[in-house]
Amino acid sequence: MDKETVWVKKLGIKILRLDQGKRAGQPLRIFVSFLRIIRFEGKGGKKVLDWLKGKGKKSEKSEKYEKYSIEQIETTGQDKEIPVNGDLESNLKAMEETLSYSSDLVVRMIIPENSGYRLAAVYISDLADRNVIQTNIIKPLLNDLSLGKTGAGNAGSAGSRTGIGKPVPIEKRIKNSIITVSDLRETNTLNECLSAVLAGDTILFIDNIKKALIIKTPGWKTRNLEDPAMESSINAPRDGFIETLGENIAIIRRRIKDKNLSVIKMKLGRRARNEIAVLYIKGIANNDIVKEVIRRISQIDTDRAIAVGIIQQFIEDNFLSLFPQMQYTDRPDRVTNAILEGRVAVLADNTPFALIIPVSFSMFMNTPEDYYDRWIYASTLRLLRYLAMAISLFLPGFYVALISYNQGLIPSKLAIFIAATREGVPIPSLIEAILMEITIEILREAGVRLPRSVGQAVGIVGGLVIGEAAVRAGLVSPVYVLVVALTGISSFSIVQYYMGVSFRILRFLVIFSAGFMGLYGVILFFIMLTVHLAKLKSFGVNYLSPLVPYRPGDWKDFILRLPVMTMKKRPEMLKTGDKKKQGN
Amino acid sequence: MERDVGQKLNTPDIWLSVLIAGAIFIFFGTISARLSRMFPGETIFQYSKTITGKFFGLLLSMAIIIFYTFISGYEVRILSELVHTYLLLRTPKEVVIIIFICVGTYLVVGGINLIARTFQLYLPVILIILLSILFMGMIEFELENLMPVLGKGILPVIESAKATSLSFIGFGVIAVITAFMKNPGKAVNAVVAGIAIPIVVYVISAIIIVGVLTIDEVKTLTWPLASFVNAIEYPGGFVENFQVFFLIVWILAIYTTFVGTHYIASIGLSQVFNKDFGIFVYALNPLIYIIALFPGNIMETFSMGSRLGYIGLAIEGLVPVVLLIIARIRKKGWYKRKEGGTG
Repeated sequence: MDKETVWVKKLGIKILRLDQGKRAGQPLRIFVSFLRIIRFEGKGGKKVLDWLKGKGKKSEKSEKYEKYSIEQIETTGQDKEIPVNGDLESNLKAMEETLSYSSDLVVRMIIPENSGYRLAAVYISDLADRNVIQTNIIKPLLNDLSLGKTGAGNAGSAGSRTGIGKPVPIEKRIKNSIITVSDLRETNTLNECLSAVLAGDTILFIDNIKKALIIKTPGWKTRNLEDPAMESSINAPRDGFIETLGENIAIIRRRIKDKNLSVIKMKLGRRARNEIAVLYIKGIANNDIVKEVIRRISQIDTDRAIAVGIIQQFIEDNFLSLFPQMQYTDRPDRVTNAILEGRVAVLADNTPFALIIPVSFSMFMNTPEDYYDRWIYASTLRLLRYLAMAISLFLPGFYVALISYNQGLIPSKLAIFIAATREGVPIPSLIEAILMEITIEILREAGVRLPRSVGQAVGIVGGLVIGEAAVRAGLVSPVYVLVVALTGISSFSIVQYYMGVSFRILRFLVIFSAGFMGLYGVILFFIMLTVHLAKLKSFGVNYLSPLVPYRPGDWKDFILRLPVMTMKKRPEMLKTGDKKKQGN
Repeated sequence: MERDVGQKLNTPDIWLSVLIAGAIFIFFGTISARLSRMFPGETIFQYSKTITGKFFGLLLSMAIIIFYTFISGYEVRILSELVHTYLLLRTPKEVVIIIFICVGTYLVVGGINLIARTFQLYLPVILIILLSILFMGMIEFELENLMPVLGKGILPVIESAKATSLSFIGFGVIAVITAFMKNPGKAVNAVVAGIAIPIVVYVISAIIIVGVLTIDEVKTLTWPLASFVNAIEYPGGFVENFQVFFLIVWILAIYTTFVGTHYIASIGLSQVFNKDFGIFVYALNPLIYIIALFPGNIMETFSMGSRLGYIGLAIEGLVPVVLLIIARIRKKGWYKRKEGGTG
């Protein structure tokens, strides 16, 4: 009432207020509340204001996520909790109803003879291992609980065996002394049961008990560990990640037996509920980075099955940049090294890849082999790779710039030679370059998608036949065919596939800027590129570090890879907790 | 630079002039840094108001801003002349200028941290390429060309030192960036290092260029350094000219100067008018473009450059000295606090 009075006073309509009749008051009140909404006051007004600002939902959301500490994150996004009922039938009905009576949901009633117990095992037929359920759950239950079979069957009298008269509750007894599956836990809520069933576990309901047992019985087929397909290597370990999250974590745990290796699991995807794991070593990885990774991941809100590649797109810093801001790899040794350096790895179920966060540009130029090789070999190869990177990015553009604008800068003998080969070529060099590059890219794309044997044929047909024919016909100059070939080969030596892709795109930009502004254009492109790279950050770590800002300590493992004895510290740029890697 | 001094001096002692000028500029730079250190977190645009009062502060700030706008316009013009001479003979200067301003703006709007990181990236590139080019040209070096040292006495050497001032322009950045330094206490050291590097490079290049080309030739050349690079030739070598590398370095160097001066002018405007920094970056661009097209030909550009050099000497060198003296007299900055005890 007070606020209304104020309003009325403000409006100078005291007269209406004076006669205070209920009939007169009603429209006034409506009017005033309308005014309030317009002025964004009061409850309704605030809502409108929030809506206008578009903040209503967001602020709520961020609050929701701030609540979660690292440990609690697993429960993110679950519905309202439904407790397990004492009544077996109603539990089963609830399960079946929520899963909409799916035909692959199996409910196996277990009623041991004369025991008075009624139990039910619930699982999904092709996700759970039927053998385990038969031999390790149903068989012992029937054997131990049935009366008159092994003598210990009487309800609640297991204690008599141990000599203590106190009866043990049935669910404890089942858990502790009957079921022979290693991994099982109790739960109070049906929600947990549901997500467990959907993950291939078996749920055991017991009549009259308000708890359920979740027994781990995953039984789907998994692939064998195979050579990583994305990055093959000569002397690095041969096992690559596979599609099972548990297996992948095990691969990493086998390599890092540190007690501080923490694995944080979350379930993501509104419907797919895919499991995701964030791995890092407590005490080494920078806490801020870990928190930021978890915050960004937990804000993902989508229907889709969350594969690692999708997570990457949701959490990257700059989605307009051409450069990958996380490392996407299928090599466990790469992930292990990164975790030990103080980085964070993200794995997801159903994806044979891992993300490494944060990254810097130099990481994309390294291979895990660099660390297994002796340092001279490793350093030389790295130098070679940087050279190849420069060639694959700038060579065609440079060629175009020199041919079409700055012939004076070519050594004179070479200039005469090139001029001779270009004689009669009807296409200007810019168009020539773009046509040839596009041809090469099409060939490469075709080769990737085809089966391996056909792919090679495509390479031969495309590379040799088209190139040869184009030169013979006088459409392109042989020198440019050479340039294209050199560029193509160089771009293959960029270790990481996605970095290679971004370089392929950038190459076209170089060609264009060379075509329009000659060498000046190429130099300006170089400036733009470096400024962009200097601007880019991956989870707070500068993309160009350790180059800029200068971190000379990290230069031991940059363009050169110095002897392992010298690398005593973890990368400075990661601001790790434990800074020392080895020795004194 | 070599040309300017060479014309004035007419003896091969250019390197001596550079050295003397460098010493003077280190002195001015240190003064500037000391002054900035007295007002932690403030740029010259802010503390000039405190020192001299609102009106003179504003006047001074505007003078500095206009000066730096002119310098960036001049830099762009020099670049366009360079590009016109060596790279794009037929492309209109306007296009070259506009594109360059756009690329510069991309970095300027990124703010001081980005600029610092990018310059850190370019510094080794510039130094390595420049020094290796210079040393490669050493094969035709003849010590006789540098003789006689001080043939006409020391006075002309000192007098012509001021002609080098344009080459050192830009150290006025100190008055601005000290405000953004994590550790302003180190500002003085940073200044000494920052000016010493160009001095060393300039002295080396002056010695080598005069030693190779002789002073009489240097005087007549428009771009002595470029001609020097052009003259490098290795018998039997496949690569005949190193101009490509040299042009890369030159464009990078002009780019960094342009961005630096553009940034100072923009941040100055934003602090004087207390508005968002980004707007002024874009607002200055047309102005810079007009200034860049102001001189009619290359000779006019050069004379504009040397005039700017003298003005720069006043603005970057003398102004901080005067400000420092006034601040001491009026007891502003640290001095004020020292007197007030805890306050």
